Amino acid sequence: MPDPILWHPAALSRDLPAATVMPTACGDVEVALWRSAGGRVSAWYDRCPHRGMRLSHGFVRGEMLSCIYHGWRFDTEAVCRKIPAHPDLTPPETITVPRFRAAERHGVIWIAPRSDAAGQGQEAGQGQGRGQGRGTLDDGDPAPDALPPLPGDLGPLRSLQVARDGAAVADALGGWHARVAGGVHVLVQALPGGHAALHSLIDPEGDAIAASRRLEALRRDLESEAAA
Amino acid sequence: MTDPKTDPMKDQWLPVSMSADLGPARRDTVVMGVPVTIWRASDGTARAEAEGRTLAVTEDYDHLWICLGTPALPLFDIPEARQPGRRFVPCGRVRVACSPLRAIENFLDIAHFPFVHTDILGAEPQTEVTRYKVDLRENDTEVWATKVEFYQPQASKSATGGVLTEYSYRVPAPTVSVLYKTCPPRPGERDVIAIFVQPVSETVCDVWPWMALFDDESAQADLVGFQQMIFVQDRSILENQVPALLPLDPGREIPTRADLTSVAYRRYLKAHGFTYGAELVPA
Repeated sequence: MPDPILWHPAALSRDLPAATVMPTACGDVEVALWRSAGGRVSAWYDRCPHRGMRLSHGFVRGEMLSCIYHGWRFDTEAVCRKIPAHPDLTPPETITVPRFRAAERHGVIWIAPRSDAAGQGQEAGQGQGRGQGRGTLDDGDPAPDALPPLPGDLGPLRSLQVARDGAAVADALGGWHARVAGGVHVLVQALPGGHAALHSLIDPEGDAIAASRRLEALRRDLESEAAA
Repeated sequence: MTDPKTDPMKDQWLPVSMSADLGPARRDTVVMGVPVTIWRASDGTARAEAEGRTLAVTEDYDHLWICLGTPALPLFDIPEARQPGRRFVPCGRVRVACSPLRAIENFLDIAHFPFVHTDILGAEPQTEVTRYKVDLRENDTEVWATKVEFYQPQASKSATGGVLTEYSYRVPAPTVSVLYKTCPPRPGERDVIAIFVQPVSETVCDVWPWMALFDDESAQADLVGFQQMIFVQDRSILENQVPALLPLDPGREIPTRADLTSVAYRRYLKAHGFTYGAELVPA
Protein backbone atom coordinates (compact mmCIF):
# COMPACT_ATOMS: atom_id res chain seq x y z
CA MET A 1 0.00 0.00 0.00
CA PRO A 2 1.41 3.41 -0.92
CA ASP A 3 2.21 5.92 1.77
CA PRO A 4 -0.81 8.02 2.69
CA ILE A 5 -0.81 11.45 1.12
CA LEU A 6 -0.25 14.22 3.61
CA TRP A 7 -2.96 16.83 3.11
CA HIS A 8 -2.36 20.35 4.40
CA PRO A 9 -5.22 22.75 5.15
CA ALA A 10 -4.52 25.79 2.95
CA ALA A 11 -7.53 28.13 3.21
CA LEU A 12 -11.22 28.28 4.00
CA SER A 13 -13.22 27.72 0.79
CA ARG A 14 -15.17 30.89 1.52
CA ASP A 15 -12.00 33.00 1.44
CA LEU A 16 -11.20 32.02 -2.15
CA PRO A 17 -14.13 33.23 -4.28
CA ALA A 18 -14.42 32.43 -7.99
CA ALA A 19 -11.82 34.13 -10.22
CA THR A 20 -9.33 34.95 -7.45
CA VAL A 21 -5.82 33.89 -6.47
CA MET A 22 -4.04 33.99 -3.10
CA PRO A 23 -0.64 32.99 -1.68
CA THR A 24 -0.30 30.03 0.66
CA ALA A 25 2.31 27.33 1.30
CA CYS A 26 2.82 23.60 1.38
CA GLY A 27 5.56 22.96 3.91
CA ASP A 28 8.43 25.24 2.94
CA VAL A 29 7.21 25.73 -0.62
CA GLU A 30 5.29 28.90 -1.52
CA VAL A 31 2.06 28.11 -3.35
CA ALA A 32 -0.33 30.12 -5.54
CA LEU A 33 -3.87 28.94 -4.76
CA TRP A 34 -6.57 29.99 -7.22
CA ARG A 35 -10.14 29.34 -8.22
CA SER A 36 -11.33 29.59 -11.80
CA ALA A 37 -14.51 31.44 -12.79
CA GLY A 38 -16.15 28.01 -13.07
CA GLY A 39 -15.12 27.12 -9.50
CA ARG A 40 -12.19 24.75 -9.98
CA VAL A 41 -9.45 25.09 -7.34
CA SER A 42 -5.76 24.67 -8.26
CA ALA A 43 -2.56 24.88 -6.22
CA TRP A 44 0.72 25.56 -8.01
CA TYR A 45 4.29 26.39 -7.28
CA ASP A 46 4.21 30.18 -6.77
CA ARG A 47 6.61 31.05 -9.57
CA CYS A 48 6.08 31.81 -13.25
CA PRO A 49 8.55 29.74 -15.29
CA HIS A 50 9.25 32.76 -17.54
CA ARG A 51 10.85 35.35 -15.22
CA GLY A 52 10.20 33.96 -11.72
CA MET A 53 7.32 36.30 -10.79
CA ARG A 54 5.04 35.08 -7.99
CA LEU A 55 1.87 33.80 -9.65
CA SER A 56 -0.13 34.64 -6.51
CA HIS A 57 0.13 38.28 -7.70
CA GLY A 58 -1.56 37.29 -10.97
CA PHE A 59 -5.16 37.51 -12.14
CA VAL A 60 -7.85 35.03 -13.15
CA ARG A 61 -9.86 35.31 -16.33
CA GLY A 62 -12.28 32.50 -17.01
CA GLU A 63 -10.52 29.16 -16.58
CA MET A 64 -7.00 30.62 -16.82
CA LEU A 65 -4.51 32.15 -14.37
CA SER A 66 -2.34 34.94 -15.81
CA CYS A 67 1.01 36.10 -14.50
CA ILE A 68 0.91 39.83 -13.64
CA TYR A 69 4.36 40.48 -15.14
CA HIS A 70 3.92 39.59 -18.82
CA GLY A 71 0.42 38.12 -18.86
CA TRP A 72 1.46 34.54 -19.63
CA ARG A 73 -1.76 32.56 -19.29
CA PHE A 74 -1.97 29.03 -17.84
CA ASP A 75 -4.95 26.64 -17.97
CA THR A 76 -6.21 24.59 -15.00
CA GLU A 77 -3.69 21.84 -15.87
CA ALA A 78 -0.92 24.46 -15.43
CA VAL A 79 -0.01 24.41 -19.13
CA CYS A 80 0.89 27.74 -20.76
CA ARG A 81 -1.71 28.60 -23.43
CA LYS A 82 -0.94 32.21 -24.26
CA ILE A 83 2.13 34.45 -24.42
CA PRO A 84 0.76 37.97 -25.11
CA ALA A 85 4.07 39.27 -26.50
CA HIS A 86 3.61 36.73 -29.32
CA PRO A 87 -0.15 36.58 -29.93
CA ASP A 88 0.12 34.27 -32.95
CA LEU A 89 2.34 31.72 -31.24
CA THR A 90 0.96 28.49 -29.81
CA PRO A 91 3.18 27.97 -26.75
CA PRO A 92 4.90 24.58 -26.55
CA GLU A 93 3.11 22.27 -24.09
CA THR A 94 6.36 21.82 -22.20
CA ILE A 95 5.89 25.25 -20.57
CA THR A 96 4.16 24.27 -17.34
CA VAL A 97 4.09 25.18 -13.67
CA PRO A 98 4.73 22.38 -11.13
CA ARG A 99 1.54 21.75 -9.21
CA PHE A 100 0.07 20.22 -6.09
CA ARG A 101 -3.06 18.22 -5.45
CA ALA A 102 -6.00 20.32 -4.34
CA ALA A 103 -9.35 19.23 -2.88
CA GLU A 104 -12.23 20.81 -0.95
CA ARG A 105 -13.88 19.15 2.07
CA HIS A 106 -15.74 20.60 5.05
CA GLY A 107 -15.47 24.10 3.59
CA VAL A 108 -11.67 23.86 3.64
CA ILE A 109 -9.21 23.73 0.72
CA TRP A 110 -6.63 20.99 1.23
CA ILE A 111 -3.40 20.66 -0.72
CA ALA A 112 -0.83 17.89 -0.99
CA PRO A 113 2.41 17.29 -2.90
CA ARG A 114 2.16 15.22 -6.09
CA SER A 115 4.42 12.29 -6.75
CA ASP A 116 3.97 12.33 -10.55
CA ALA A 117 5.77 14.41 -13.18
CA ALA A 118 3.33 17.31 -12.87
CA GLY A 119 4.60 17.94 -9.35
CA GLN A 120 8.28 17.77 -10.20
CA GLY A 121 10.42 20.54 -8.80
CA GLN A 122 8.29 21.12 -5.72
CA GLU A 123 10.52 19.43 -3.19
CA ALA A 124 13.73 20.94 -4.47
CA GLY A 125 12.04 24.30 -4.71
CA GLN A 126 13.44 24.66 -8.20
CA GLY A 127 10.27 24.44 -10.24
CA GLN A 128 11.51 25.05 -13.75
CA GLY A 129 8.44 23.48 -15.28
CA ARG A 130 10.34 22.66 -18.42
CA GLY A 131 10.29 19.49 -20.48
CA GLN A 132 8.75 17.52 -17.69
CA GLY A 133 5.72 16.23 -19.46
CA ARG A 134 2.25 16.32 -17.99
CA GLY A 135 0.77 14.26 -15.25
CA THR A 136 -2.17 12.11 -16.20
CA LEU A 137 -3.46 11.85 -12.66
CA ASP A 138 -6.45 13.87 -11.64
CA ASP A 139 -6.01 15.99 -8.54
CA GLY A 140 -7.55 13.02 -6.75
CA ASP A 141 -9.86 12.73 -3.78
CA PRO A 142 -8.34 12.48 -0.35
CA ALA A 143 -8.74 8.96 1.05
CA PRO A 144 -11.50 8.93 3.70
CA ASP A 145 -8.98 8.53 6.52
CA ALA A 146 -6.53 11.12 5.15
CA LEU A 147 -8.34 14.12 6.64
CA PRO A 148 -9.16 14.83 10.29
CA PRO A 149 -12.53 13.41 11.44
CA LEU A 150 -14.65 16.56 11.25
CA PRO A 151 -18.42 16.63 11.72
CA GLY A 152 -20.28 17.33 8.50
CA ASP A 153 -22.22 20.37 9.66
CA LEU A 154 -19.41 22.79 10.58
CA GLY A 155 -19.37 26.26 9.07
CA PRO A 156 -16.36 28.45 8.26
CA LEU A 157 -15.22 30.77 11.07
CA ARG A 158 -11.97 32.43 10.02
CA SER A 159 -8.30 31.95 9.22
CA LEU A 160 -5.56 33.79 11.04
CA GLN A 161 -1.79 33.79 10.97
CA VAL A 162 0.41 33.15 13.99
CA ALA A 163 4.03 34.21 14.28
CA ARG A 164 5.07 30.81 15.59
CA ASP A 165 6.38 27.60 14.07
CA GLY A 166 3.61 25.24 12.87
CA ALA A 167 4.86 22.17 14.75
CA ALA A 168 5.11 24.19 18.00
CA VAL A 169 1.54 25.43 17.51
CA ALA A 170 0.30 21.89 16.91
CA ASP A 171 2.16 20.77 20.04
CA ALA A 172 0.61 23.52 22.13
CA LEU A 173 -2.90 22.71 20.87
CA GLY A 174 -2.47 18.95 21.19
CA GLY A 175 -2.52 18.16 17.47
CA TRP A 176 -2.69 19.53 13.91
CA HIS A 177 -6.46 19.32 14.34
CA ALA A 178 -7.78 20.49 17.70
CA ARG A 179 -11.13 21.18 19.31
CA VAL A 180 -11.16 24.32 21.38
CA ALA A 181 -13.88 25.84 23.55
CA GLY A 182 -17.05 27.18 21.97
CA GLY A 183 -17.53 24.37 19.45
CA VAL A 184 -14.54 25.48 17.37
CA HIS A 185 -12.30 23.16 15.34
CA VAL A 186 -8.83 24.50 14.56
CA LEU A 187 -6.73 23.17 11.68
CA VAL A 188 -3.05 24.11 11.86
CA GLN A 189 -1.07 24.83 8.69
CA ALA A 190 2.70 25.21 8.87
CA LEU A 191 4.00 28.18 6.88
CA PRO A 192 7.56 29.04 5.82
CA GLY A 193 9.65 31.26 8.05
CA GLY A 194 8.48 29.76 11.34
CA HIS A 195 4.86 30.89 10.96
CA ALA A 196 1.55 29.05 11.03
CA ALA A 197 -2.03 29.58 9.92
CA LEU A 198 -5.06 28.57 11.98
CA HIS A 199 -8.07 27.68 9.84
CA SER A 200 -11.10 27.39 12.04
CA LEU A 201 -14.60 25.97 11.68
CA ILE A 202 -17.52 26.32 14.07
CA ASP A 203 -20.58 24.30 15.14
CA PRO A 204 -23.85 25.58 13.65
CA GLU A 205 -25.09 26.74 17.07
CA GLY A 206 -21.74 28.30 18.09
CA ASP A 207 -21.33 32.04 18.72
CA ALA A 208 -19.06 33.18 15.90
CA ILE A 209 -18.17 36.58 17.37
CA ALA A 210 -17.22 35.17 20.77
CA ALA A 211 -15.30 32.35 19.08
CA SER A 212 -13.44 34.79 16.87
CA ARG A 213 -12.34 36.80 19.93
CA ARG A 214 -11.19 33.61 21.65
CA LEU A 215 -9.09 32.81 18.59
CA GLU A 216 -7.42 36.22 18.81
CA ALA A 217 -6.63 35.49 22.46
CA LEU A 218 -5.32 32.07 21.47
CA ARG A 219 -3.01 33.69 18.93
CA ARG A 220 -1.68 36.11 21.54
CA ASP A 221 -1.05 33.23 23.94
CA LEU A 222 0.73 31.17 21.28
CA GLU A 223 2.93 34.10 20.28
CA SER A 224 3.78 35.14 23.84
CA GLU A 225 4.64 31.53 24.77
CA ALA A 226 7.06 31.60 21.83
CA ALA A 227 8.61 34.83 23.12
CA ALA A 228 8.87 33.50 26.68
CA MET B 1 27.05 34.75 -2.46
CA THR B 2 29.45 36.71 -4.63
CA ASP B 3 32.48 38.19 -2.87
CA PRO B 4 32.39 41.99 -3.32
CA LYS B 5 36.16 42.06 -2.85
CA THR B 6 36.79 40.14 -6.07
CA ASP B 7 33.76 40.84 -8.28
CA PRO B 8 34.69 43.14 -11.20
CA MET B 9 31.73 45.34 -10.25
CA LYS B 10 33.99 46.91 -7.61
CA ASP B 11 36.00 48.44 -10.47
CA GLN B 12 32.89 50.03 -12.03
CA TRP B 13 31.63 53.56 -11.49
CA LEU B 14 28.61 53.28 -9.21
CA PRO B 15 26.09 56.07 -8.46
CA VAL B 16 25.61 57.12 -4.83
CA SER B 17 23.81 60.49 -4.81
CA MET B 18 22.35 63.30 -6.87
CA SER B 19 24.96 66.03 -7.21
CA ALA B 20 22.48 68.62 -5.97
CA ASP B 21 22.09 66.77 -2.68
CA LEU B 22 25.79 66.69 -1.89
CA GLY B 23 26.86 69.28 0.69
CA PRO B 24 29.58 69.85 3.28
CA ALA B 25 27.85 67.56 5.79
CA ARG B 26 29.16 64.01 5.58
CA ARG B 27 26.56 61.43 4.60
CA ASP B 28 26.72 57.66 4.89
CA THR B 29 25.61 55.26 2.20
CA VAL B 30 26.31 51.61 1.35
CA VAL B 31 27.77 50.20 -1.86
CA MET B 32 28.16 46.44 -2.34
CA GLY B 33 27.78 46.01 1.42
CA VAL B 34 30.60 48.49 2.11
CA PRO B 35 29.81 51.63 4.19
CA VAL B 36 30.81 54.72 2.19
CA THR B 37 30.94 58.34 3.40
CA ILE B 38 30.38 61.14 0.89
CA TRP B 39 30.54 64.93 1.09
CA ARG B 40 31.47 68.05 -0.86
CA ALA B 41 34.72 69.71 0.18
CA SER B 42 35.04 73.48 0.57
CA ASP B 43 36.75 73.70 -2.84
CA GLY B 44 33.54 72.32 -4.40
CA THR B 45 34.87 68.87 -5.27
CA ALA B 46 33.10 65.68 -4.24
CA ARG B 47 34.83 63.32 -1.84
CA ALA B 48 34.24 59.72 -0.82
CA GLU B 49 35.83 57.44 1.76
CA ALA B 50 35.40 53.79 2.66
CA GLU B 51 37.21 51.69 5.23
CA GLY B 52 39.68 54.52 5.81
CA ARG B 53 40.54 54.78 2.10
CA THR B 54 39.88 57.67 -0.28
CA LEU B 55 37.77 56.50 -3.21
CA ALA B 56 37.91 57.59 -6.83
CA VAL B 57 34.96 59.90 -7.58
CA THR B 58 33.50 61.59 -10.61
CA GLU B 59 30.44 63.75 -11.21
CA ASP B 60 28.35 63.65 -14.35
CA TYR B 61 24.72 63.35 -15.45
CA ASP B 62 23.70 65.21 -12.27
CA HIS B 63 24.98 62.39 -10.04
CA LEU B 64 28.02 61.48 -7.97
CA TRP B 65 29.77 58.24 -8.97
CA ILE B 66 32.30 56.36 -6.88
CA CYS B 67 34.54 53.39 -7.51
CA LEU B 68 35.36 50.97 -4.69
CA GLY B 69 38.41 49.55 -6.49
CA THR B 70 40.36 50.80 -9.50
CA PRO B 71 38.23 52.24 -12.31
CA ALA B 72 38.30 49.80 -15.24
CA LEU B 73 37.15 52.48 -17.71
CA PRO B 74 36.29 56.18 -17.67
CA LEU B 75 32.62 56.87 -16.91
CA PHE B 76 30.53 55.94 -19.98
CA ASP B 77 29.53 58.73 -22.33
CA ILE B 78 25.96 59.88 -22.97
CA PRO B 79 26.49 62.35 -25.86
CA GLU B 80 22.93 63.73 -25.51
CA ALA B 81 23.95 65.15 -22.13
CA ARG B 82 26.00 67.77 -24.05
CA GLN B 83 23.24 68.58 -26.54
CA PRO B 84 21.78 72.11 -26.31
CA GLY B 85 18.05 72.46 -25.67
CA ARG B 86 17.61 69.39 -23.50
CA ARG B 87 16.23 69.50 -19.98
CA PHE B 88 17.99 67.33 -17.46
CA VAL B 89 15.79 65.73 -14.85
CA PRO B 90 17.37 63.74 -12.02
CA CYS B 91 14.41 61.96 -10.41
CA GLY B 92 15.70 61.08 -6.96
CA ARG B 93 16.14 57.71 -5.34
CA VAL B 94 13.83 54.70 -5.44
CA ARG B 95 14.84 51.98 -2.95
CA VAL B 96 13.94 48.50 -4.21
CA ALA B 97 14.47 45.24 -2.33
CA CYS B 98 15.76 43.37 -5.38
CA SER B 99 19.00 42.47 -7.12
CA PRO B 100 20.52 45.46 -8.95
CA LEU B 101 20.73 43.21 -12.01
CA ARG B 102 17.00 42.36 -11.90
CA ALA B 103 16.31 46.13 -11.81
CA ILE B 104 18.31 46.64 -15.02
CA GLU B 105 16.73 43.63 -16.73
CA ASN B 106 13.24 44.92 -15.94
CA PHE B 107 14.16 48.32 -17.43
CA LEU B 108 15.16 46.55 -20.67
CA ASP B 109 11.82 44.73 -20.87
CA ILE B 110 8.88 46.07 -22.86
CA ALA B 111 6.55 43.05 -22.87
CA HIS B 112 5.40 43.90 -19.33
CA PHE B 113 4.10 47.38 -20.22
CA PRO B 114 0.42 46.39 -20.80
CA PHE B 115 0.25 44.41 -17.53
CA VAL B 116 2.35 46.48 -15.11
CA HIS B 117 2.02 50.01 -16.57
CA THR B 118 -1.55 49.48 -17.78
CA ASP B 119 -2.99 52.31 -19.91
CA ILE B 120 0.23 54.31 -19.59
CA LEU B 121 3.10 52.54 -21.32
CA GLY B 122 0.93 49.75 -22.76
CA ALA B 123 -2.57 48.32 -22.94
CA GLU B 124 -4.26 45.11 -24.02
CA PRO B 125 -4.90 43.98 -26.70
CA GLN B 126 -1.78 45.66 -28.16
CA THR B 127 0.65 43.30 -26.44
CA GLU B 128 2.76 42.13 -29.35
CA VAL B 129 6.54 42.60 -29.32
CA THR B 130 7.75 42.52 -32.91
CA ARG B 131 11.22 41.40 -33.91
CA TYR B 132 14.01 43.79 -32.97
CA LYS B 133 17.77 43.78 -33.19
CA VAL B 134 20.30 43.11 -30.43
CA ASP B 135 24.06 43.50 -30.73
CA LEU B 136 27.21 44.09 -28.73
CA ARG B 137 29.23 47.27 -29.33
CA GLU B 138 32.37 49.02 -28.05
CA ASN B 139 34.46 45.84 -28.05
CA ASP B 140 31.63 43.85 -26.50
CA THR B 141 31.47 46.13 -23.46
CA GLU B 142 27.97 47.43 -24.33
CA VAL B 143 24.68 45.69 -25.08
CA TRP B 144 22.39 47.47 -27.58
CA ALA B 145 18.81 46.71 -28.62
CA THR B 146 17.43 48.72 -31.53
CA LYS B 147 14.21 49.02 -33.54
CA VAL B 148 12.13 48.04 -30.54
CA GLU B 149 8.57 49.14 -31.35
CA PHE B 150 5.59 49.21 -29.02
CA TYR B 151 2.15 50.79 -28.99
CA GLN B 152 1.77 53.16 -26.04
CA PRO B 153 -1.41 54.87 -24.77
CA GLN B 154 0.57 57.61 -22.95
CA ALA B 155 4.25 57.28 -23.77
CA SER B 156 5.40 60.23 -21.66
CA LYS B 157 4.22 63.15 -19.58
CA SER B 158 3.94 65.29 -22.74
CA ALA B 159 2.09 62.69 -24.85
CA THR B 160 -1.56 63.44 -25.52
CA GLY B 161 -2.71 60.18 -27.10
CA GLY B 162 -1.63 56.71 -28.15
CA VAL B 163 1.48 56.39 -30.34
CA LEU B 164 3.64 53.66 -31.80
CA THR B 165 6.86 54.33 -29.89
CA GLU B 166 10.28 53.23 -31.09
CA TYR B 167 12.90 52.48 -28.49
CA SER B 168 16.60 51.77 -28.42
CA TYR B 169 18.23 50.40 -25.30
CA ARG B 170 21.82 50.57 -24.28
CA VAL B 171 23.66 48.91 -21.38
CA PRO B 172 27.00 50.73 -21.03
CA ALA B 173 27.80 49.23 -17.60
CA PRO B 174 26.35 46.33 -15.58
CA THR B 175 24.11 48.55 -13.42
CA VAL B 176 23.30 51.29 -15.95
CA SER B 177 20.79 51.35 -18.76
CA VAL B 178 19.95 54.19 -21.13
CA LEU B 179 16.92 54.18 -23.38
CA TYR B 180 16.17 56.38 -26.35
CA LYS B 181 12.54 56.77 -27.36
CA THR B 182 10.37 58.67 -29.84
CA CYS B 183 9.99 62.28 -28.69
CA PRO B 184 6.39 63.36 -29.40
CA PRO B 185 6.95 67.17 -29.44
CA ARG B 186 10.09 66.92 -31.57
CA PRO B 187 10.09 64.32 -34.35
CA GLY B 188 13.66 63.53 -35.37
CA GLU B 189 14.98 63.82 -31.82
CA ARG B 190 14.76 61.20 -29.14
CA ASP B 191 14.10 61.45 -25.43
CA VAL B 192 16.76 59.90 -23.22
CA ILE B 193 15.77 58.10 -20.01
CA ALA B 194 18.35 56.30 -17.94
CA ILE B 195 18.52 54.37 -14.72
CA PHE B 196 21.67 54.46 -12.65
CA VAL B 197 21.52 51.62 -10.14
CA GLN B 198 23.44 51.67 -6.87
CA PRO B 199 24.04 48.11 -5.68
CA VAL B 200 23.51 48.43 -1.91
CA SER B 201 23.75 44.66 -1.52
CA GLU B 202 23.06 41.69 -3.79
CA THR B 203 19.35 41.93 -3.00
CA VAL B 204 18.81 45.64 -2.32
CA CYS B 205 19.41 48.55 -4.69
CA ASP B 206 18.79 52.26 -5.02
CA VAL B 207 17.57 53.25 -8.46
CA TRP B 208 18.44 56.79 -9.61
CA PRO B 209 16.40 57.59 -12.74
CA TRP B 210 17.65 60.46 -14.91
CA MET B 211 16.15 62.02 -18.05
CA ALA B 212 17.37 64.33 -20.81
CA LEU B 213 14.26 65.56 -22.61
CA PHE B 214 12.95 68.06 -25.10
CA ASP B 215 9.98 69.17 -23.03
CA ASP B 216 9.53 72.89 -22.42
CA GLU B 217 6.08 72.64 -20.93
CA SER B 218 5.86 70.06 -18.16
CA ALA B 219 6.74 71.19 -14.65
CA GLN B 220 9.84 69.47 -13.22
CA ALA B 221 7.75 68.06 -10.37
CA ASP B 222 5.30 66.48 -12.85
CA LEU B 223 8.14 64.87 -14.84
CA VAL B 224 9.63 63.44 -11.66
CA GLY B 225 6.18 62.32 -10.48
CA PHE B 226 5.51 60.49 -13.75
CA GLN B 227 8.80 58.62 -13.51
CA GLN B 228 8.29 57.81 -9.82
CA MET B 229 4.84 56.36 -10.60
CA ILE B 230 6.35 54.07 -13.25
CA PHE B 231 9.07 52.87 -10.87
CA VAL B 232 6.70 52.20 -8.02
CA GLN B 233 4.71 49.97 -10.39
CA ASP B 234 7.92 48.15 -11.34
CA ARG B 235 8.84 47.72 -7.69
CA SER B 236 5.78 45.54 -7.04
CA ILE B 237 7.22 43.13 -9.62
CA LEU B 238 10.90 43.37 -8.67
CA GLU B 239 10.32 42.58 -5.01
CA ASN B 240 8.36 39.44 -5.91
CA GLN B 241 10.62 37.60 -8.33
CA VAL B 242 11.94 34.22 -7.21
CA PRO B 243 14.83 33.75 -6.70
CA ALA B 244 15.84 37.27 -5.70
CA LEU B 245 19.20 36.87 -7.46
CA LEU B 246 19.21 37.04 -11.28
CA PRO B 247 19.62 33.53 -12.71
CA LEU B 248 22.46 33.25 -15.24
CA ASP B 249 21.90 29.55 -15.92
CA PRO B 250 19.91 29.53 -19.20
CA GLY B 251 17.87 26.49 -18.06
CA ARG B 252 16.48 28.23 -14.98
CA GLU B 253 13.91 30.43 -16.72
CA ILE B 254 12.17 30.31 -20.10
CA PRO B 255 12.78 33.28 -22.42
CA THR B 256 10.98 34.02 -25.70
CA ARG B 257 11.89 36.15 -28.71
CA ALA B 258 10.66 39.25 -26.85
CA ASP B 259 13.39 38.62 -24.25
CA LEU B 260 16.35 38.90 -26.64
CA THR B 261 17.70 41.96 -24.78
CA SER B 262 17.49 40.17 -21.46
CA VAL B 263 19.22 37.10 -22.91
CA ALA B 264 22.04 39.30 -24.30
CA TYR B 265 22.32 41.14 -20.96
CA ARG B 266 22.64 37.87 -19.02
CA ARG B 267 25.28 36.60 -21.44
CA TYR B 268 27.20 39.87 -21.16
CA LEU B 269 27.15 39.63 -17.34
CA LYS B 270 28.41 36.06 -17.52
CA ALA B 271 31.11 36.87 -20.10
CA HIS B 272 32.49 39.72 -17.96
CA GLY B 273 32.13 37.86 -14.66
CA PHE B 274 29.64 40.40 -13.23
CA THR B 275 28.04 37.99 -10.76
CA TYR B 276 27.30 40.39 -7.89
CA GLY B 277 23.48 40.12 -7.63
CA ALA B 278 23.39 37.02 -9.83
CA GLU B 279 22.60 33.43 -8.97
CA LEU B 280 25.83 31.52 -9.38
CA VAL B 281 25.75 28.98 -12.18
CA PRO B 282 26.34 25.44 -10.93
CA ALA B 283 29.68 24.17 -12.19
